[in-house]
Amino acid sequence: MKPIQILPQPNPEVLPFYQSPAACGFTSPAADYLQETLSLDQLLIRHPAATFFARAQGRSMEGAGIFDGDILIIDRSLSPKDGDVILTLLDGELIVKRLVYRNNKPELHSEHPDYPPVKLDSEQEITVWGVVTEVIHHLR
Amino acid sequence: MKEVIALCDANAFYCSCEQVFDPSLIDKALGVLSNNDGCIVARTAQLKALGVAMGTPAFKVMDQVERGEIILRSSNYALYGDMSSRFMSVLEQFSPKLEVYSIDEAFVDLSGFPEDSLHARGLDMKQRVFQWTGLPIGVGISTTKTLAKLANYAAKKFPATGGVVDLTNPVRQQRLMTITPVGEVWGVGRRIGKRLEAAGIHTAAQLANANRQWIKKQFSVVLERTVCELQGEYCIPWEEGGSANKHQIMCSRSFGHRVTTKQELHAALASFICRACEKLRKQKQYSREAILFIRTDPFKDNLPQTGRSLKLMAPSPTSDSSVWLQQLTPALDVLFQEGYEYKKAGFALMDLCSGQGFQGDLLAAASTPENTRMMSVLDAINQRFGSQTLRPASVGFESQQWHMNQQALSPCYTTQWRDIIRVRI
Repeated sequence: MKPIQILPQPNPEVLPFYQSPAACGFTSPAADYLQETLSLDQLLIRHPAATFFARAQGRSMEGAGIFDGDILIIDRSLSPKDGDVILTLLDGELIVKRLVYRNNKPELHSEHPDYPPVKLDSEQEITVWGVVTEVIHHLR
Repeated sequence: MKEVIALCDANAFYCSCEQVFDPSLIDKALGVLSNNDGCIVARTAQLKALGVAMGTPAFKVMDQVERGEIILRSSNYALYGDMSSRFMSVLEQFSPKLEVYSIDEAFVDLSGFPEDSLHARGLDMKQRVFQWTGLPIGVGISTTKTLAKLANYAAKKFPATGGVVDLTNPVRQQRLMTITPVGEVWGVGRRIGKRLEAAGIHTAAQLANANRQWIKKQFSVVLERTVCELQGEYCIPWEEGGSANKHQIMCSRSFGHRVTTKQELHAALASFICRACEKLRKQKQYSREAILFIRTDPFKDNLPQTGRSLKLMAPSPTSDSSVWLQQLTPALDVLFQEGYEYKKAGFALMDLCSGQGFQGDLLAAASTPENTRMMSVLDAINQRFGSQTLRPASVGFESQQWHMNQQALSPCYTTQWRDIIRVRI
């Protein structure tokens, strides 16, 4: 396949129109003080390569401030500590619970009076998908 | 200083990306299909164990899919692209010098680290990539790219290695090469492999010991270089900025069904132009040269065949899609012929340059600041509401018939808000 060349037809009656304004007068006195606008990414995301978002479904973590429909920010790079809210893989499903150590044994707690802690078999290991670091809750 | 190179690549990358967000796919016989749901292009170990070969057409396993023994997914390149860039940025934490070799593999420079720390460093890379992204990878470390590839092959082939092999020691190199079929060596394809076998060279070790002059004469300079690299002589240089460093941007697709009208080709190509220019703007680059092509299906040799391409020029380097869209109609008038069933079309931007340093055409009105702003608004809207929400009329309003078949596409978990994972609380 040999390319053939087509050139756009220059239209002799059209002259270029330069839109950038010609600068006159003094520059703005604020120009030296301009800063970047505030970024939510900068505030909420420490490790972009390891950060993922999820939509919460359910009520069992309302005590932790997580409500149905909220957006969770999850940082996989963090190692989970006692008391962290984590996204965990349990019986093939991703669920959110608080990780609590009792007598050196990990437990998964809900934060709602109607929901008891998750029962784990003595041998069952907890697979942590990531640590929930922030909750975005919509007010309207 | 001796070079030390690690080759890191993700295991069954496309499948792994799917499994990170959908745990029900873990430990299943899962396959990811090529464009148009044609053939299987990625397989989990469980799918391999069922004897399903790479490239198997989807229809051949449909019975097993219906019985639930095999799960298939359409390829979700938005997801794989995002996961790939996460993978690469974790690797960058280990070395400033990185060559992205493909979507799922990269060479990482580890020169200068103490020799006895290399294996631990490889394990670190593997562990951190898994923790940060959920992707399992293999790491092969050695003194040339070809040997690093070989080490990586061993890391995958032998589970006892734990997925990390340090092959900097010449004695270990010899031992591995003696048991590695020559066809597994990087740069030896199936065709060359057969010719080598015919010449009595069956293992990597035999290739490493072959006479260089003879290899050069009988095969090529390229294969001679492979031999040098197997002998530990560093020959294949780093491609700074990565071999995936874009010198061109190509958007092309095989159609889900045969396309016979100019209108349909026009709509498809217009959307490729928009996609290509969007990518170009994302890279903050410009181009003044492009190629359009359309062709029929070469495998349907009972049908009339054609393939034509056309080079387009812009008055000055631009990232403005309207410059190319204006030329699409006249270009298709040249390219299109009645009576053919078109299977594939594409648009490629060539000879990319960055913003600085190009000489604009003084008399050309190509990209006014107004147009540049329009393009960035267009990109922002499409990023927010989904690709092609806002598009030029030439892309078309009707349901896009030329689109790919994607029967089993997973959500864009990482690139669309409406698609983020749902988790039970």
